[in-house]
Amino acid sequence: MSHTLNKPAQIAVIAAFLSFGVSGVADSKQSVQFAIPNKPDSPAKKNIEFVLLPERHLMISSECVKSRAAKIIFECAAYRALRIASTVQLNKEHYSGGHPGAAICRTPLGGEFVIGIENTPERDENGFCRFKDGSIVDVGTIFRYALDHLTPE
Amino acid sequence: MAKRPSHRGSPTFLLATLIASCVVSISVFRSIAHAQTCGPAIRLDKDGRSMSHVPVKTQEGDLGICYAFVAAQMVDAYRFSHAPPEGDRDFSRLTSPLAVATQTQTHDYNRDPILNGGETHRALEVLKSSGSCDSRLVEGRFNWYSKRLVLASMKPFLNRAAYERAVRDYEAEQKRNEKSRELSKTPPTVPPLDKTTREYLKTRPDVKKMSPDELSKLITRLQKKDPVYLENMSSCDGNTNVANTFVQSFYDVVNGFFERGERVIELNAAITRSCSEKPRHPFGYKAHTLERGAIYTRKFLQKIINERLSGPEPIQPFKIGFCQNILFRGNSYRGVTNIGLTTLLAKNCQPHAALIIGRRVKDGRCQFLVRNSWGTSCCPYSREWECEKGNIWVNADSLMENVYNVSYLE
Repeated sequence: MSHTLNKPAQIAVIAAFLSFGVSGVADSKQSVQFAIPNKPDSPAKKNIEFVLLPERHLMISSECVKSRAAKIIFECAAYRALRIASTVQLNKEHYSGGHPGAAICRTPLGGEFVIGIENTPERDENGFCRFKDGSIVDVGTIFRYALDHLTPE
Repeated sequence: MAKRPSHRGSPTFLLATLIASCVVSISVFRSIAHAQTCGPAIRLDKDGRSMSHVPVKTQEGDLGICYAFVAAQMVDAYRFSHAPPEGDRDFSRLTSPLAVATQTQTHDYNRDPILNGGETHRALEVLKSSGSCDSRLVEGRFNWYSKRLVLASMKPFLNRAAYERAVRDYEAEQKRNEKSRELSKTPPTVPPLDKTTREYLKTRPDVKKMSPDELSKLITRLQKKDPVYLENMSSCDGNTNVANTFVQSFYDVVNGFFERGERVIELNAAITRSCSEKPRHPFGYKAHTLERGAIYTRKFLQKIINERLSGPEPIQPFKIGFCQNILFRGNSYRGVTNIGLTTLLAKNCQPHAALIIGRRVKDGRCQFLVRNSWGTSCCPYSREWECEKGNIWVNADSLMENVYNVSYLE
């Protein structure tokens, strides 16, 4: 008995493998929506969708996603900022109970801190850093990358 | 056929069996012991318990008022889990952490322009005596940069045509830039200027010739110098509906206040006057704080937490003062050591305050659920810890190794 598959079966196996690869990435990706003020001094808010990749400690606005292939590719100021996020400029005061990620957002990265409210009945909050091109990244992500000097892939 | 030699009776086999059974027994006993000392699983943020209606909040970088966030959430949990007059069910009325911070620091350091580094037990005492302040009112108060309010405040000083033109321009801008229907439905508020500012503006003959932008800048400069002006600019009720839909980033506001040479006492005056119009809650709680040391050892503190988490309802959350590095570096991090009567913190401890709001046994280990004040993101934390919307499950033993004090309400 031969274990060799005929051509249509081979194609089916390859297709199944590829679809598993794609869906595997998609499964690990989650999305979450936050209402973010248009400007810090404006009561008007906009619902922004964020991509959440727990394995990469990453929560970033979905507009940064440039490719949804097997490996997600990001391109925006918020994502580029993660490359240079660093805890070097933080001093003792920044570790006195506040969020160091918010401090990194402002000073070295030149972003704007905004508070988003999750679109759920609980109305939970999260802090974000917004950049000039409008892209937004979670300040927890900034702190994690700064802490580990992780380079986004 | 030669008989296969058996090793079953050999001393080596017996020793190996003995060691293996010892290891298995120890791990089983440890699991049972952990489960027994740990107590049953509980979540204070679920099933209608005390934290069920207390949302995850986030604070900002340099203010460092984690102690105030923790105290505010403890008091809200107490309110929501007690019947009147001790408590209430007004879940949308959350205690303002900024007001807690200014009230606390006014009591302790009213001459220093500083809000960070306060102590939760002091904040709880202050809250007990002066009541809690609705965060919507405080956030609304700090919305003084709102162009609409500035425009409204300029009304008495502009001729009618100029004012109407400015309002039309503003509304056109709103329509262009904002899709928020809620804002356009908000009735225009015309907060009164305080007498000092009014008198001052009357003395300036150039005011009538000013463009709306110039006058706006002048008023902004004036109001920044005067906390009383700030109070008059945004009446509590007038701003409530704005504040409901908008969380103002108050970092710049507070730091700007201090940069102008103001003190905490002035900031506190500006904030708390807004709260006096609303009824405050009488708090009959007793706040306990246990500092780790020779008397209250790590094990004792852990025992207290476990006992109270298994106690009668309503169970209240615990504040912990701890080295926050445990959250980032994982299980192996140790930031607190006891030498004799002294508790020493490591240089990289990064002292922080958070709440314990749950307990469970995972893989034979007892874990506490830590509610931080850094929003719903789980990205900052070590992969060793499971995290759910900013609440982190941390091994109880490792966490308590990094705890230097515990507070709770009774």
